[in-house]
Amino acid sequence: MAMKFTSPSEESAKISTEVVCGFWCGQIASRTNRWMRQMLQDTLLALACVFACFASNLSAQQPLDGAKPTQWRVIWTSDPATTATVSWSTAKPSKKNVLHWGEKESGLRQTSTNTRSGLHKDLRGSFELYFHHVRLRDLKPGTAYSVQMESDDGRSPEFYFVTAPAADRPFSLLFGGDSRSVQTNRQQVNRMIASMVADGETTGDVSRDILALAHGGDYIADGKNLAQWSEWLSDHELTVTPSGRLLPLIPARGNHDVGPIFNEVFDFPEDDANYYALAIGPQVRFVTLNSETSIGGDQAKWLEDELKGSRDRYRWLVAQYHRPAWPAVKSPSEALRHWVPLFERYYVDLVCEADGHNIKRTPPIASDKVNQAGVVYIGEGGLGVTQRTPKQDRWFLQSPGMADSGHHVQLLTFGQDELRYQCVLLGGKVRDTYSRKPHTHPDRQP
Amino acid sequence: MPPAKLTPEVVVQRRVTNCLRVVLAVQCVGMAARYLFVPFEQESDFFSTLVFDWEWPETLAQRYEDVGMWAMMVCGLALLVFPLVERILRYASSGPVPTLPARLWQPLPLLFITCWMLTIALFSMWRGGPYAEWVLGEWAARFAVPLALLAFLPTRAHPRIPERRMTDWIGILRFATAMTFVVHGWKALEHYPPFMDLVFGTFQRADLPEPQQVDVQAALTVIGVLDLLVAALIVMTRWPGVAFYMAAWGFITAASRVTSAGWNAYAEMLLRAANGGVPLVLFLYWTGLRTLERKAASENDQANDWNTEGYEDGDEVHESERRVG
Repeated sequence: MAMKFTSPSEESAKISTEVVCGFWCGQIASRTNRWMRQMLQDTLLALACVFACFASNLSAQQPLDGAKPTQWRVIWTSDPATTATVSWSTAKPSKKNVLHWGEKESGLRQTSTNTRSGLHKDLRGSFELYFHHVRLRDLKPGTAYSVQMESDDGRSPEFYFVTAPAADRPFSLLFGGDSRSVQTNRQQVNRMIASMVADGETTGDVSRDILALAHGGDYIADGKNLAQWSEWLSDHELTVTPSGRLLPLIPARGNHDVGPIFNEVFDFPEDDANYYALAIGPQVRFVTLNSETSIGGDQAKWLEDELKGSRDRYRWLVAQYHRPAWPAVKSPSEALRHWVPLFERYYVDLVCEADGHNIKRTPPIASDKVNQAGVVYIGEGGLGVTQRTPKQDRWFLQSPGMADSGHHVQLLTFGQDELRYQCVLLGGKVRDTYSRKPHTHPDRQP
Repeated sequence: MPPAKLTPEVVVQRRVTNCLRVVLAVQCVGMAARYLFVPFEQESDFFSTLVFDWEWPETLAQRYEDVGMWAMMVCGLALLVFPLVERILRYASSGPVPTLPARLWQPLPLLFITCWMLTIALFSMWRGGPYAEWVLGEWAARFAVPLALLAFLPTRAHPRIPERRMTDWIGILRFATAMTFVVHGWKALEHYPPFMDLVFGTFQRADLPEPQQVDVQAALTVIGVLDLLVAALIVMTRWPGVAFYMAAWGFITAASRVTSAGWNAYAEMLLRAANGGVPLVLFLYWTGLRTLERKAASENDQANDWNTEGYEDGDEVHESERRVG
C-alpha cells in the first residue's frame, strides 16, 4: 500500500490516497463491527448468567424453624484457650435460651443461662431473626467441649469444639475472605472446609488439626440486609464436620459488612471498633484489624503497641484485615501507609488480606522491595465470590510471588521451625505453597 | 477580526459558563483518570455490580467501563476545547469562521456526562456501603455542572442566556452546592473514618507529629458544623463571602487527597473539582453582578443611559438582559 504514495502522477497519488483511506476506513469499520458484535454476544451471555443466578437464588432454602436453634457457630474474639462464644439463631422469639455444655469426655454437665439474646436489626426489609450468644469462660486449653443449644422449640444436635492449646504444639488455621454474592460457590467451599477439618482431625498428625477459620470479611453483599446474613449463617452450618465439630470463627469486618448486624452476628459490643488480637497457643499471635474504620489514629497506635509487645513473646505474628495494602486488583488501602511500616518494623511473618477476589502471595516485602526479612501478604478472598483476573504486571505479584484466580481457602500450619502456607482450590488441588522460618533478627530474642 | 464589545451582563454570563466548562473538563479528566490512568486504577460500582452481582464476564464489564470513562473524558475536554478554539479562530480570522452551532452538538456530550455520572452514582447507591444512600446529594455539585451548561446553551430564540433562566439555574447551583456541603458536613459530624485518615495521612506525609484521634474528631465536628452553616447560608443569602469560603474549602478538601496520599492521588483531587468550582461560579456571578450594580449606579448619577453604551454592531441584546443590574 505504501508504494501507491510514491506514484509520480498527482492523479494517481490522489487515487491511491483514497484507496488507502478507504482501506483503513474499511478496517476500522470492520473491527468496530466485529467488536460491537462481540460486545453484543457477551452482553447476551451475561444476561443469561444473571437470569441463571436469580433462578438459583430463588431455590435457596432457609432452614429456620420457629424457636428451634439453628445457624450454630463458635466465635473467638478473646483468649481462645479459655473463652469462646457459642451462638445460634431462632426465627421466632424464644423465652428459654440456654446452652448445655461440658468437656466432651464427660458430657453436657453444665447449663449456661446468661444468654445475650436480641432481634437482629434488619435495615433492608422485615426479615425476622433472633440471635443468642453465650460467652463461655474459664475453659481448659486444648480441650474438646460438647455444646447443645436449647430454645423454646427444642434442642440443636450435640456439637463440639476444641479450645486453643496451652502447649507449644503445631496446629493449623484456615484463612479466607469474601464469601458473598454466589451462594452455591460458598456452599461448596464450606463443604470443602468441613472435609479439611475432618481430615485434619483423623490423620493423627497434630499439625494438620485445624483450630479455626479466620474470615477476612465480606461475608455477604449487603451488610444491612438480614436475609443475606441469614443465608450466610445457614451456609456456615456446612462447615460442621460429620462428627459434629464446630470450627470457631475469627471474624474481620469487610467493606460490604456495613451496619450493626455484623456486631450482632459475632457478639461484638454495639459500638465496637472490631480490632483485636488473640494468642492461639503460646507461640502464635493473630491480629485482626478493621480496614473499614480509621486506619491511622487510634487503631495504628494500638497496632504498634500490640506488635511491640508481641514480637518478642511469640514465634509467629500474623495479621488479617479486609482491604489489601498490596492488592492484586484495585488500589492499595490506607493500610499501606499506616500499617505496613509497622508490619515491617516488627517483622510480622504473614499478613492475610481479602477484598480482591483472587489468589495472591507476594514475595517477602520490606521498604517497597523484595527482602527475605520482609512481610509476606496472601489473599485475596475466594470463599465463594466471583473470581477476578489479577493484574499480573504488578511487581509484587511476579515470581517469587504469584497470583491467580479460583475459589479457595488458605491453610496456615504453624510449626516450631516453620510456618507453612498452602492455597487449596475448590476440589482440593493445592495451587500454591510457601514456607518460612521464624525471624532471627538480631534486635529481637527468638 | 476582534469580536464586538460585549455588554457587562454577557461578560458575567460568559465568566460563569467558562468557569463551568473548566470545572466540567477537570472533573471528567479526574473521574476518567481514576479508572483508567492512575498507577493502581480502581473499578467503579458500575463495574463491580456487573461482575460480582450480575456475574457478567470481567472483560466485558471492564470494556463497558473503559468506554464510558473514555467517552466522558473526551466529552468533557471537547466541551472546553472546541468553544475555545472557535473563539481563537474568530479572533484571528478576518472572515467568517464556519462552525457548528453549540446548540446542535453540545447537548449530546452534556447529556452523556450527566447520564454516565448518574449511572455510576445509582450503582453505588444500589450496592450499598457507608453513606451510599447519600451519593446523589454528595454528588449534587458534580451533576449540576453539566446540567447548568445544558441550560445555558444558546437557542434560536435566545442566543444569549435569558435573565430568568440564569437566575433559576444560579438557584439550582446554590442548592446543589448546599447539598454537597450538607452530606460532607454530616459525614464530618459522624467522624467519617476516611476523612480522619486524610488528616493523619497529611500529617504523616508532612513529617509532622501525628495528632490524637480525639483531636481530629473534635476538628471534624467543628468542620461539620461549619459545612452545615455555610450550606444554609448559600441557600438563604447571596453573600459572595460565603461562596468564596465554600470554594476555598471545596478546593482544599479536594487537594487533601494529594496532601495525604501524594501525587498518585491526583485523580481523586481533580474529580472533586466541582466541590470548589460550583461555589466559585456563584462567587464570580455575584461579584460580577455587584460590579454591574455599582457601575450602573454611578452612571445613573451622571444621568447617562449606560444601557445603550456598551452595545455595538452584531451584539444582539434582549431587554431582559438589560435589567440584570
